[in-house]
Amino acid sequence: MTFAGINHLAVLVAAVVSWLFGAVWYGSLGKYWMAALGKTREELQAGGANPVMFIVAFVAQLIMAEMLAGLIGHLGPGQVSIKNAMISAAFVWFGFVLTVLVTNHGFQGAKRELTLIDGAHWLGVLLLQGLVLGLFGV
Amino acid sequence: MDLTAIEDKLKAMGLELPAQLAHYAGEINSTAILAALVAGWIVGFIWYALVGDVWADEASGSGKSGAFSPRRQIFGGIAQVVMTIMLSSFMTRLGYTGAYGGVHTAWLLWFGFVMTIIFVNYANLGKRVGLALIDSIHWLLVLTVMGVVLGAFNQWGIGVPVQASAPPAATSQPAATTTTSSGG
Repeated sequence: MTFAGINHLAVLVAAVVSWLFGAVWYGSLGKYWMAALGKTREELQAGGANPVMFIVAFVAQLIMAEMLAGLIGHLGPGQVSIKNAMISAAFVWFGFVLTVLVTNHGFQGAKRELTLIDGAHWLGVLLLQGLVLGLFGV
Repeated sequence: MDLTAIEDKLKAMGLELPAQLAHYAGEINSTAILAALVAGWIVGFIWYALVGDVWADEASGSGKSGAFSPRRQIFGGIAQVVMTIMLSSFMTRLGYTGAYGGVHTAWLLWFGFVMTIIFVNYANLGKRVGLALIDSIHWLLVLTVMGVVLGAFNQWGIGVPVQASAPPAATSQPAATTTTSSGG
Protein backbone atom coordinates (compact mmCIF):
# COMPACT_ATOMS: atom_id res chain seq x y z
CA MET A 1 0.00 0.00 0.00
CA THR A 2 1.58 3.24 -1.07
CA PHE A 3 0.30 6.76 -0.87
CA ALA A 4 0.33 9.13 -3.80
CA GLY A 5 0.22 12.34 -1.76
CA ILE A 6 -2.51 14.96 -1.52
CA ASN A 7 -2.71 17.98 -3.78
CA HIS A 8 -4.43 20.55 -1.59
CA LEU A 9 -5.08 22.94 -4.44
CA ALA A 10 -7.03 20.14 -6.08
CA VAL A 11 -8.96 19.64 -2.86
CA LEU A 12 -9.87 23.32 -2.69
CA VAL A 13 -10.98 23.45 -6.31
CA ALA A 14 -12.99 20.26 -5.86
CA ALA A 15 -14.77 21.72 -2.85
CA VAL A 16 -15.57 24.97 -4.63
CA VAL A 17 -16.83 23.19 -7.74
CA SER A 18 -19.06 20.83 -5.80
CA TRP A 19 -20.35 23.65 -3.61
CA LEU A 20 -21.32 25.65 -6.70
CA PHE A 21 -23.02 22.55 -8.05
CA GLY A 22 -25.01 22.33 -4.83
CA ALA A 23 -26.10 25.94 -5.18
CA VAL A 24 -27.24 25.31 -8.76
CA TRP A 25 -28.93 22.04 -7.85
CA TYR A 26 -30.98 23.33 -4.95
CA GLY A 27 -31.54 26.62 -6.72
CA SER A 28 -33.19 24.94 -9.65
CA LEU A 29 -34.97 22.29 -7.58
CA GLY A 30 -35.98 24.66 -4.79
CA LYS A 31 -39.67 24.19 -5.33
CA TYR A 32 -39.49 20.40 -5.26
CA TRP A 33 -37.15 20.41 -2.32
CA MET A 34 -39.45 22.56 -0.23
CA ALA A 35 -42.38 20.37 -1.20
CA ALA A 36 -40.42 17.31 -0.12
CA LEU A 37 -39.61 19.02 3.14
CA GLY A 38 -43.19 19.98 3.64
CA LYS A 39 -42.31 23.56 4.43
CA THR A 40 -42.84 26.90 2.78
CA ARG A 41 -40.19 29.41 1.87
CA GLU A 42 -41.32 31.67 4.72
CA GLU A 43 -40.96 28.92 7.27
CA LEU A 44 -37.47 28.06 6.08
CA GLN A 45 -36.25 31.62 6.05
CA ALA A 46 -37.76 32.40 9.41
CA GLY A 47 -36.32 29.29 10.99
CA GLY A 48 -32.70 29.22 10.02
CA ALA A 49 -29.79 31.51 9.34
CA ASN A 50 -29.35 31.07 5.64
CA PRO A 51 -25.72 32.23 5.26
CA VAL A 52 -24.68 29.75 7.94
CA MET A 53 -26.10 26.92 5.88
CA PHE A 54 -23.90 27.81 2.93
CA ILE A 55 -20.81 28.02 5.12
CA VAL A 56 -21.55 24.70 6.79
CA ALA A 57 -22.04 23.15 3.39
CA PHE A 58 -18.74 24.53 2.12
CA VAL A 59 -16.75 23.38 5.13
CA ALA A 60 -18.36 19.95 4.89
CA GLN A 61 -17.46 19.67 1.24
CA LEU A 62 -13.92 20.77 1.96
CA ILE A 63 -13.62 17.93 4.47
CA MET A 64 -15.20 15.57 1.98
CA ALA A 65 -12.80 16.52 -0.78
CA GLU A 66 -9.82 16.10 1.53
CA MET A 67 -10.96 12.67 2.68
CA LEU A 68 -11.78 11.65 -0.87
CA ALA A 69 -8.34 12.76 -1.98
CA GLY A 70 -6.76 10.69 0.78
CA LEU A 71 -8.83 7.70 -0.19
CA ILE A 72 -7.98 8.02 -3.88
CA GLY A 73 -4.34 8.63 -3.02
CA HIS A 74 -4.28 5.31 -1.23
CA LEU A 75 -4.96 3.56 -4.49
CA GLY A 76 -1.27 4.12 -5.07
CA PRO A 77 0.80 6.17 -7.48
CA GLY A 78 -0.06 5.46 -11.07
CA GLN A 79 -3.53 4.40 -10.05
CA VAL A 80 -4.90 7.91 -9.78
CA SER A 81 -6.90 8.61 -12.89
CA ILE A 82 -10.14 10.39 -13.61
CA LYS A 83 -11.92 7.10 -14.11
CA ASN A 84 -10.61 5.54 -10.87
CA ALA A 85 -11.29 8.71 -8.92
CA MET A 86 -14.87 8.93 -10.10
CA ILE A 87 -15.45 5.23 -9.53
CA SER A 88 -14.13 5.54 -5.98
CA ALA A 89 -16.36 8.55 -5.42
CA ALA A 90 -19.37 6.64 -6.72
CA PHE A 91 -18.63 3.71 -4.41
CA VAL A 92 -18.30 6.02 -1.44
CA TRP A 93 -21.64 7.56 -2.33
CA PHE A 94 -23.34 4.23 -2.72
CA GLY A 95 -21.89 2.67 0.39
CA PHE A 96 -21.94 5.49 2.89
CA VAL A 97 -23.93 8.46 1.72
CA LEU A 98 -26.97 6.82 0.20
CA THR A 99 -27.17 4.25 2.97
CA VAL A 100 -27.03 6.86 5.71
CA LEU A 101 -29.57 9.08 3.95
CA VAL A 102 -32.01 6.23 3.41
CA THR A 103 -31.73 5.07 7.00
CA ASN A 104 -31.90 8.45 8.68
CA HIS A 105 -34.66 9.79 6.47
CA GLY A 106 -36.58 6.59 6.96
CA PHE A 107 -36.48 6.84 10.70
CA GLN A 108 -37.50 10.46 10.64
CA GLY A 109 -40.43 9.97 8.33
CA ALA A 110 -39.05 12.12 5.56
CA LYS A 111 -40.61 11.87 2.13
CA ARG A 112 -39.06 9.66 -0.52
CA GLU A 113 -38.59 12.71 -2.79
CA LEU A 114 -36.30 14.24 -0.20
CA THR A 115 -34.04 11.23 -0.22
CA LEU A 116 -34.00 11.36 -4.01
CA ILE A 117 -33.16 15.05 -4.18
CA ASP A 118 -30.53 14.92 -1.46
CA GLY A 119 -29.13 11.62 -2.64
CA ALA A 120 -28.73 12.83 -6.20
CA HIS A 121 -27.19 16.05 -4.94
CA TRP A 122 -24.49 14.21 -3.02
CA LEU A 123 -23.87 11.88 -5.95
CA GLY A 124 -23.25 14.92 -8.12
CA VAL A 125 -21.03 16.43 -5.45
CA LEU A 126 -18.91 13.33 -5.06
CA LEU A 127 -18.65 12.62 -8.77
CA LEU A 128 -17.58 16.21 -9.45
CA GLN A 129 -15.02 16.07 -6.66
CA GLY A 130 -13.72 12.78 -8.05
CA LEU A 131 -13.49 14.34 -11.49
CA VAL A 132 -11.54 17.36 -10.26
CA LEU A 133 -9.24 15.29 -8.08
CA GLY A 134 -8.63 12.87 -10.93
CA LEU A 135 -7.89 15.75 -13.30
CA PHE A 136 -5.42 17.38 -10.93
CA GLY A 137 -3.89 14.06 -10.05
CA VAL A 138 -4.57 14.21 -6.31
CA MET B 1 -16.26 -15.88 -1.03
CA ASP B 2 -15.64 -18.66 -3.51
CA LEU B 3 -17.60 -18.48 -6.72
CA THR B 4 -16.26 -21.65 -8.32
CA ALA B 5 -19.53 -23.50 -7.81
CA ILE B 6 -21.41 -20.79 -9.66
CA GLU B 7 -18.69 -20.56 -12.26
CA ASP B 8 -18.90 -24.31 -12.94
CA LYS B 9 -22.64 -24.13 -13.44
CA LEU B 10 -22.25 -21.23 -15.81
CA LYS B 11 -19.52 -23.00 -17.73
CA ALA B 12 -21.84 -25.95 -18.16
CA MET B 13 -24.23 -23.51 -19.81
CA GLY B 14 -21.46 -22.11 -21.97
CA LEU B 15 -21.22 -18.81 -20.05
CA GLU B 16 -18.47 -17.21 -18.04
CA LEU B 17 -18.31 -14.84 -15.14
CA PRO B 18 -16.36 -11.68 -15.86
CA ALA B 19 -12.90 -12.12 -14.42
CA GLN B 20 -13.22 -8.94 -12.41
CA LEU B 21 -16.38 -10.15 -10.70
CA ALA B 22 -14.76 -13.38 -9.63
CA HIS B 23 -11.81 -11.41 -8.35
CA TYR B 24 -13.84 -8.97 -6.32
CA ALA B 25 -16.05 -11.72 -4.94
CA GLY B 26 -12.94 -13.57 -3.92
CA GLU B 27 -11.93 -10.60 -1.85
CA ILE B 28 -15.10 -10.71 0.24
CA ASN B 29 -14.91 -12.53 3.52
CA SER B 30 -18.58 -13.38 4.00
CA THR B 31 -18.12 -14.69 7.53
CA ALA B 32 -16.50 -11.45 8.59
CA ILE B 33 -19.19 -9.41 6.86
CA LEU B 34 -21.95 -11.31 8.57
CA ALA B 35 -20.28 -10.89 11.95
CA ALA B 36 -19.70 -7.18 11.31
CA LEU B 37 -23.35 -6.75 10.32
CA VAL B 38 -24.63 -8.39 13.46
CA ALA B 39 -22.20 -6.43 15.62
CA GLY B 40 -23.25 -3.20 13.91
CA TRP B 41 -26.94 -3.89 14.46
CA ILE B 42 -26.36 -4.72 18.11
CA VAL B 43 -24.37 -1.54 18.64
CA GLY B 44 -27.03 0.54 16.88
CA PHE B 45 -29.76 -1.04 18.93
CA ILE B 46 -27.91 -0.38 22.19
CA TRP B 47 -27.11 3.20 21.23
CA TYR B 48 -30.67 4.17 20.40
CA ALA B 49 -31.94 2.33 23.45
CA LEU B 50 -29.57 4.47 25.52
CA VAL B 51 -30.37 7.81 23.89
CA GLY B 52 -33.93 7.05 22.84
CA ASP B 53 -35.51 9.74 25.01
CA VAL B 54 -33.02 12.38 23.98
CA TRP B 55 -33.51 11.42 20.34
CA ALA B 56 -37.26 11.76 20.65
CA ASP B 57 -36.82 15.22 22.17
CA GLU B 58 -34.45 16.39 19.49
CA ALA B 59 -36.54 14.88 16.72
CA SER B 60 -39.81 16.31 17.93
CA GLY B 61 -41.50 18.53 15.42
CA SER B 62 -39.52 17.18 12.51
CA GLY B 63 -42.18 14.90 11.12
CA LYS B 64 -43.63 11.58 12.06
CA SER B 65 -41.22 9.39 13.88
CA GLY B 66 -41.16 6.93 16.70
CA ALA B 67 -43.80 4.51 15.54
CA PHE B 68 -42.23 1.19 14.67
CA SER B 69 -42.45 0.54 10.96
CA PRO B 70 -41.17 -2.72 9.50
CA ARG B 71 -40.44 -1.05 6.19
CA ARG B 72 -38.03 1.37 7.84
CA GLN B 73 -36.27 -1.40 9.66
CA ILE B 74 -35.91 -3.35 6.45
CA PHE B 75 -34.55 -0.41 4.48
CA GLY B 76 -32.22 0.44 7.32
CA GLY B 77 -31.09 -3.16 7.44
CA ILE B 78 -30.42 -3.31 3.74
CA ALA B 79 -28.53 -0.04 3.97
CA GLN B 80 -26.33 -1.48 6.68
CA VAL B 81 -25.63 -4.59 4.59
CA VAL B 82 -24.49 -2.38 1.73
CA MET B 83 -22.37 -0.34 4.09
CA THR B 84 -20.63 -3.39 5.52
CA ILE B 85 -19.75 -4.76 2.11
CA MET B 86 -18.51 -1.38 0.93
CA LEU B 87 -16.42 -0.90 4.07
CA SER B 88 -14.89 -4.30 3.55
CA SER B 89 -14.13 -3.52 -0.08
CA PHE B 90 -12.53 -0.21 0.77
CA MET B 91 -10.41 -1.80 3.44
CA THR B 92 -9.12 -4.29 0.93
CA ARG B 93 -8.58 -1.72 -1.83
CA LEU B 94 -6.67 0.62 0.45
CA GLY B 95 -4.64 -2.15 2.01
CA TYR B 96 -5.95 -1.64 5.54
CA THR B 97 -6.89 -5.18 6.35
CA GLY B 98 -6.09 -5.48 10.05
CA ALA B 99 -8.28 -4.55 13.01
CA TYR B 100 -6.52 -1.22 13.42
CA GLY B 101 -6.68 -0.67 9.69
CA GLY B 102 -10.39 -1.32 9.84
CA VAL B 103 -10.86 1.39 12.44
CA HIS B 104 -8.70 3.77 10.41
CA THR B 105 -10.73 3.21 7.27
CA ALA B 106 -14.02 3.43 9.13
CA TRP B 107 -13.05 6.72 10.74
CA LEU B 108 -11.85 8.21 7.45
CA LEU B 109 -15.12 7.30 5.80
CA TRP B 110 -17.18 8.46 8.74
CA PHE B 111 -15.41 11.78 9.14
CA GLY B 112 -15.34 12.55 5.47
CA PHE B 113 -18.70 11.42 4.28
CA VAL B 114 -21.13 10.35 6.96
CA MET B 115 -20.60 13.08 9.51
CA THR B 116 -20.45 15.80 6.87
CA ILE B 117 -23.60 14.68 5.11
CA ILE B 118 -25.57 14.42 8.30
CA PHE B 119 -24.61 17.87 9.51
CA VAL B 120 -25.22 19.56 6.19
CA ASN B 121 -28.55 17.89 5.54
CA TYR B 122 -29.80 18.39 9.05
CA ALA B 123 -28.82 22.05 8.98
CA ASN B 124 -30.71 22.45 5.73
CA LEU B 125 -33.71 20.72 7.19
CA GLY B 126 -33.70 22.92 10.26
CA LYS B 127 -33.15 20.03 12.58
CA ARG B 128 -31.42 20.49 15.86
CA VAL B 129 -27.72 19.99 16.31
CA GLY B 130 -28.44 17.49 19.06
CA LEU B 131 -30.17 15.24 16.55
CA ALA B 132 -27.27 15.49 14.14
CA LEU B 133 -24.89 14.61 16.95
CA ILE B 134 -26.91 11.60 18.04
CA ASP B 135 -27.23 10.22 14.53
CA SER B 136 -23.60 10.96 13.65
CA ILE B 137 -22.31 9.23 16.74
CA HIS B 138 -24.56 6.28 16.01
CA TRP B 139 -22.86 5.81 12.64
CA LEU B 140 -19.45 6.39 14.19
CA LEU B 141 -20.02 3.58 16.66
CA VAL B 142 -21.50 1.27 14.04
CA LEU B 143 -18.71 1.90 11.52
CA THR B 144 -15.99 1.55 14.15
CA VAL B 145 -17.35 -1.77 15.35
CA MET B 146 -17.72 -3.01 11.79
CA GLY B 147 -14.17 -1.95 10.97
CA VAL B 148 -12.79 -3.74 14.01
CA VAL B 149 -14.73 -6.93 13.32
CA LEU B 150 -13.88 -7.01 9.62
CA GLY B 151 -10.23 -6.34 10.30
CA ALA B 152 -9.96 -8.73 13.21
CA PHE B 153 -11.59 -11.58 11.32
CA ASN B 154 -9.14 -11.13 8.49
CA GLN B 155 -6.25 -10.85 10.87
CA TRP B 156 -7.20 -13.97 12.78
CA GLY B 157 -7.97 -15.88 9.62
CA ILE B 158 -11.61 -16.54 10.41
CA GLY B 159 -13.50 -17.11 7.19
CA VAL B 160 -11.57 -16.44 4.02
CA PRO B 161 -8.39 -14.45 4.67
CA VAL B 162 -8.53 -11.52 2.31
CA GLN B 163 -5.45 -10.30 0.55
CA ALA B 164 -5.42 -7.29 -1.69
CA SER B 165 -4.12 -7.87 -5.13
CA ALA B 166 -4.55 -6.07 -8.39
CA PRO B 167 -7.71 -7.09 -10.20
CA PRO B 168 -7.17 -8.74 -13.58
CA ALA B 169 -7.32 -6.51 -16.61
CA ALA B 170 -10.62 -6.67 -18.46
CA THR B 171 -9.05 -8.50 -21.38
CA SER B 172 -7.39 -11.27 -19.42
CA GLN B 173 -8.58 -14.89 -19.33
CA PRO B 174 -11.36 -15.85 -16.90
CA ALA B 175 -9.09 -18.11 -14.90
CA ALA B 176 -7.20 -15.12 -13.53
CA THR B 177 -4.95 -15.65 -10.56
CA THR B 178 -6.31 -14.62 -7.21
CA THR B 179 -4.44 -14.98 -3.98
CA THR B 180 -7.36 -15.89 -1.75
CA SER B 181 -7.89 -19.38 -0.47
CA SER B 182 -11.12 -21.24 -1.12
CA GLY B 183 -13.90 -22.15 1.23
CA GLY B 184 -15.58 -18.79 1.96
